[in-house]
Amino acid sequence: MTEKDPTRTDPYEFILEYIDSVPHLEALMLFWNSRPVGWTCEEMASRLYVPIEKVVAILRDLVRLQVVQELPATPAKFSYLPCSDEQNDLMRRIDEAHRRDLVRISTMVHSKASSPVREFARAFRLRKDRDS
Amino acid sequence: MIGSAATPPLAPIAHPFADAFLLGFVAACSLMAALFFLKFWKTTRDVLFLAFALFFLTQGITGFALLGIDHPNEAGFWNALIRFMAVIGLLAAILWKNVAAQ
Amino acid sequence: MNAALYVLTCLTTLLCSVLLLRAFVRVRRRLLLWSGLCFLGLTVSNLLRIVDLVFFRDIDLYSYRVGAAALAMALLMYGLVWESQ
Repeated sequence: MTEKDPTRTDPYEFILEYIDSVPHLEALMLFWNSRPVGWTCEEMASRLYVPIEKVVAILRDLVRLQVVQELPATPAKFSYLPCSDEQNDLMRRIDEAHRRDLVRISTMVHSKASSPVREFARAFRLRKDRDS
Repeated sequence: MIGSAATPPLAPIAHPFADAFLLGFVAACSLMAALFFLKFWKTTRDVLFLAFALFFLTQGITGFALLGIDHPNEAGFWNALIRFMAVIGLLAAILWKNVAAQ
Repeated sequence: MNAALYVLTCLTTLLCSVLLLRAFVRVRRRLLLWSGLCFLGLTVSNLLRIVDLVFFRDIDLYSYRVGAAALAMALLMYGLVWESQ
């Protein structure tokens, strides 16, 4: 994680750049607030009120962002990944923003271009940054 | 320069009608692609998509421009230049995307 | 010199193809696959144009050139319609 990267320090920038949908954000906050508890896909699906295929996609995206880890268990469980103090700090601020500003954040997430389009643009970043 | 008296003439096209159809297909798809990329530019405000839109727009327009001429397999200097400018625009947008991010 | 313009076009479409296919391998978004393959097809078309205009002027490669481009654009259309949400 590059500390100087604004998308990794400002909660709104992070959400704008990396959070694809409101269930993604809800899932992330669930992991953060219940850390270090692990959740299975079924538990996530019933807690978030989304179908299991969506949960699988959300988990794939969050693992790729390195904010969630898969725990060695059967069936598979997932929990928050405490990468660094900066990331924990960011999560704390996202949590505050999420509680305080839910309507604005939801609107922001809904009005973003779809993620395949954003991935297309991201493909042209030549930097070997883990998120590019 | 390609096509000048010094170089041998290009072989005649074997399937002119099929090739004209395919060229029209390519040109039409290019214009559609340009529309998509214009939409993406509008939503994301990322100049990269505008560059792609212009790239495909020129591909479409130059494609249509070739449909009427006798030797579409040997496009003229202006055709190549316009496409070249679109390519330069695309490269510039990719460069900008990486340089501006720092 | 037209040849230089075609070579640059070829290299640019190749760059786009490589970047998109590399990103597809990483994030598995199908739009990246289809657009990457489109630019690969355009690269092939551009390469054939260079070969046709510079090296093998006595053989007609035009059908292959425009056919490769047509296939490439068809793949892109499919990707844009179905995979760009």
